[in-house]
Amino acid sequence: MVIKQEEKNGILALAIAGRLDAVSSVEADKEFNKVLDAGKDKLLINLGELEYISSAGLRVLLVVAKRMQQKGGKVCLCALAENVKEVFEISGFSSIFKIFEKEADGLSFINS
Amino acid sequence: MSGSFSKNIKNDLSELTALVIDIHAFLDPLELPPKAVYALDLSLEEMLTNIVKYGYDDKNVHSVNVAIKFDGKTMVLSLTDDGHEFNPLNAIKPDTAKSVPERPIGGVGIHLTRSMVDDMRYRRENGRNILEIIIKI
Repeated sequence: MVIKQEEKNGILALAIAGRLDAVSSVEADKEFNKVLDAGKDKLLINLGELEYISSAGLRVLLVVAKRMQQKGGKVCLCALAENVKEVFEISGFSSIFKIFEKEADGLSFINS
Repeated sequence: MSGSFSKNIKNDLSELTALVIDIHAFLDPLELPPKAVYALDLSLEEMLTNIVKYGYDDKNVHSVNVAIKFDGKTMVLSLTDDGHEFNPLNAIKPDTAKSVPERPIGGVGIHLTRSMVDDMRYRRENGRNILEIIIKI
């Protein structure tokens, strides 16, 4: 798993690539906590290169959603691949997150 | 095409990464649909995580057998462990309609597995849990 960070119009865009499983989610959790501790409150998570997510990966994203909600920040997900999207739908996580197909739509939602 | 795979691993989550690499080396030549491979990956991880985290009443090192059999039409993933008796088929479905603040963290692994595979069978035999996960191609 690789997480890339980039600032786009005042929004922090995080792209997660590879596998977010029980092992790599520990590292992802640390990375997200660093970002949230640094006070970032506009977050776009691009999952276009994410091949696999399990319940451990979902849990990391749920913690991000909860922390963002507590601090009144905004977060969204975008570009989910077919299999990843199915995991979000079955688990009910697709109703927890704002999800966009295109990153551009996610960026304008966060800045709206 | 058909084939079989079997490996014994320790009851430690750090074993997962190498196990997944070995399993993919076995699966790749079979050229299965990506959806079936995803279902296998996910059910393996979710059920193995349960065994490693909650299956044992001591701190000793235990061995878990992970086996896959494919006859060209059906894939059977078997997990055999010597932990205490646990039938994941008796687990309760989480409330997936809850919004973010009310949502308890965790509890979705078994639900995801049951939804993505075709069948699951559990039996207790000679002090071992044997879980079979069936994925039809």
